[in-house]
Amino acid sequence: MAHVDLGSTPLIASMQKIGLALIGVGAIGLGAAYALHGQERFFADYLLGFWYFAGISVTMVFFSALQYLARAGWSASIRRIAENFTGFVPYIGIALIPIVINMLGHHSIYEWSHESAASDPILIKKAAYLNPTFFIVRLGLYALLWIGMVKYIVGNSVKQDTAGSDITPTKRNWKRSAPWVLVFAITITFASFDLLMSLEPHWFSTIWGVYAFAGHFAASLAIITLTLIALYKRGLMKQYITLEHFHDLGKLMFAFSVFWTYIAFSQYFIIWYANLPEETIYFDVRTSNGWELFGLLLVLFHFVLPFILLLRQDVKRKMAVLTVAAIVILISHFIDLVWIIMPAVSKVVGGTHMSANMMFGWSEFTGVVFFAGVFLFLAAKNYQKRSAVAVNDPLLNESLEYSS
Amino acid sequence: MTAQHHEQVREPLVLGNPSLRDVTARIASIVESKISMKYLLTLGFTATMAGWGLFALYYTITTGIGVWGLNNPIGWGWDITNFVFWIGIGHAGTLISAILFLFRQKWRTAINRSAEAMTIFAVICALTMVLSHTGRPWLFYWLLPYPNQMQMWVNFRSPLAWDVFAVNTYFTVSALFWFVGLLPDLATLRNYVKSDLAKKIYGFFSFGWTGSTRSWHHYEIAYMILAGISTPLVLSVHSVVSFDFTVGILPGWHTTIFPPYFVAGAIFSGFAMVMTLLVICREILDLKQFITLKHLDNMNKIMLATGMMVGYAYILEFFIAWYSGSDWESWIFINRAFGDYAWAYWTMFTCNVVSPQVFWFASARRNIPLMFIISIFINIGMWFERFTIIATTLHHDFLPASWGYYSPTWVEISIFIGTFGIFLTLFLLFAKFVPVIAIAEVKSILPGAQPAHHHGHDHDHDSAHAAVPAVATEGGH
Repeated sequence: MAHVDLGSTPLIASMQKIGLALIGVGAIGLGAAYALHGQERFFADYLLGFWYFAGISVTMVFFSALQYLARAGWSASIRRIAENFTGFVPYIGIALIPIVINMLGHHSIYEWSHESAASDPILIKKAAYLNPTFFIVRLGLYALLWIGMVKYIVGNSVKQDTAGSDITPTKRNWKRSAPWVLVFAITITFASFDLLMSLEPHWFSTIWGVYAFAGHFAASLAIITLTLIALYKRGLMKQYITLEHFHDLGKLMFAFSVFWTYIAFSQYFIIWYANLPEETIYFDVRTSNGWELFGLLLVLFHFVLPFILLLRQDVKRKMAVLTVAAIVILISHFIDLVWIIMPAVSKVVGGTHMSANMMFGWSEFTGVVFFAGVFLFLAAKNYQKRSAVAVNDPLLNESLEYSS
Repeated sequence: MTAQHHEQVREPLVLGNPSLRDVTARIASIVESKISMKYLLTLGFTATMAGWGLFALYYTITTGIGVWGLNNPIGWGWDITNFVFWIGIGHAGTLISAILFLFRQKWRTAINRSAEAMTIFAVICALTMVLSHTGRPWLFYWLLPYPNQMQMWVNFRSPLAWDVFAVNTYFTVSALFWFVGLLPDLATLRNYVKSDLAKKIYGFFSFGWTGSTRSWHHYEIAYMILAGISTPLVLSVHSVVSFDFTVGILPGWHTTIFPPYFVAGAIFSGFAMVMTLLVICREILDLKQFITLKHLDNMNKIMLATGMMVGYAYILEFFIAWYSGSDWESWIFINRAFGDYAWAYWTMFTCNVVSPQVFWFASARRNIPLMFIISIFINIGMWFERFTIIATTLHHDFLPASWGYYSPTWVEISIFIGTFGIFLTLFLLFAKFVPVIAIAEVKSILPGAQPAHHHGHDHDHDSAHAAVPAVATEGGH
């Protein structure tokens, strides 16, 4: 089948322009944050934006790998949307450099890298894991493995476009997607330990990796849905998109916002009930000085609203409702990361171990805006390079004919 | 071009291209065939096991749970291990019937009926264990919140009370779901069997099913709603069971990953049990046409995936125990792997994490003797997982003065054997008198039953309805 070239459509052109504009605005904003708020807060904002979109782009590769692993037919015609959003993955290593520089400096947002950590009885025990050298090695390893995953999974998917009826590239993905999913599970877990959990190095939670994954997956589904709606509304890819796709994405968004809730509740509930001070400190800090508002908003945006919006069968086929639900999920992911990162950094900057001052304002949007720009710009580039539909996918027909 | 590909990548789910009538005849013939001596002997054997277990239960109840090997500090032993084990077994059935239904996984149709039956029987075994563990099971209604003259209420803050709600909900919904799914098939049997008595019995239980479009319409709505209700149950029941451990503050029990880790383990063990029994069933009842290698392959993949999730949890627990910097946490895990119960820990680890690794290979996933052996390994491993969790945390209390070791007595072992007897007896009865395969559902996946394949997307999302008339004529008249 003929390639679907959307590279020169107004939609992709504006995606690229918006991307560039956001990069500009975000960069200026980040600069202003550095100048006005000091470097700790700048790096916190940077980390917030970075992890929001780095996590989503890596999860987009996982989405594609998962489709291959499950031999999913339904998603064959829309899978490329996720694959195109992995454009940022090869640059994750570069984007991590500022975080590494910050960690090596004197005002690191990572308390365990401070000199004072050497006299902290708990941090001494963790020094074999939480030390700058090993931290950098690990981050480098994640970045490399993620590039490998994109090159393999997305690479084979794209190769299939030109391979005609020879389905070797697809078969490779069927065979190798399982080990890549395993790599994803391990790297996303430890990356979330390293980048987020270690912001409060005394605190620990075994479910943390699942929690991080759940949030990224829900947000990734929201972005795929929004893009699909944008393409559909403009009549692009029209013969490849059916209402069934929207229905299924609606179901998945519903399922994974509830899954996130389940994981978040498990973590909160177990810690709250046992009431051990070394664990409750995480929620203590986040339910005082105004942070409780973010916690409540999180319940509303990550659970209540998506649940009510997406519960009914018919609404999953209505673009307007799906759009609202997807935006709600994207906002909730932002609230989630703010709630995780900002109190932790606020403790390092001016608070104590027991409390964190409110630290939220315009600058918390700068990192997200910057990386949203990078994310969109690089995705648009992918649309210019390759077909927007995996046109030779052996399961494409199934994707066009199925009913959900 | 792509149509050709389609043939290459999708294996048929029913072999031999049977007609609708063939499907009915094949499954119903199991019910119609004469009861063989072999069947009776097997049934006698499992019933004896059950009887032996019931005797041990009787002995326990009349004497007191002092006849068990429990001691101070080990207040939970095989009783709770078996309870969690059996509750876990049920989860495969619920996953297959509810979640795979919502995901429109057509391969579920061959295995959902028997897996759901196992769910119900496993929950019965679990209830047996947990009731006998209360010590005075005749006062079971004290576990339920009801207005009473003593003004006594259950402690709503106790995870043990949540367990009562979770498990009872689970049992009720699973039984309803199973029975609703059975209705059209029972009607088919009613029309098929020859003896008048059998006709009356199947007729009674099929609630006068006529197979009209109206009946099917209501049926599909009910089935969908029950699938929706059952889906959160897959996650919630074992999460609540995990709360029995996590909400306390004991090292080794109190860790946040427990809920999803228990759920993954439950699905893992459930699939292993379904595999063990289905491999035998498929051989004896000659169901190879319906339960194909493709089905077994898929199930083995799920076992590999859930086995890896369980392995992920084992390793993360260890890592975080060290990372926490808590001496209690680190010590309990070192003790788990190298202490008195190291043998149990490594049995668990080998069976659950190492043995399923063979399923990375497609040839292993289709090797029936091998998958049978691995499924038994997993059954054993998952039992030991619960035992390890319970015993290793309890046997060394915070004070060395209250350290102990626990071994079961013959009574506990007999009760455990008895639960297997109950489970297998019920399963044997099920396999003989109830359609082991969902006849109507299998018909809906036969080639030609899916209108969506013939013309494009017509946005009618009720494809199953379109298959209904063909099925209804068979089931109804």
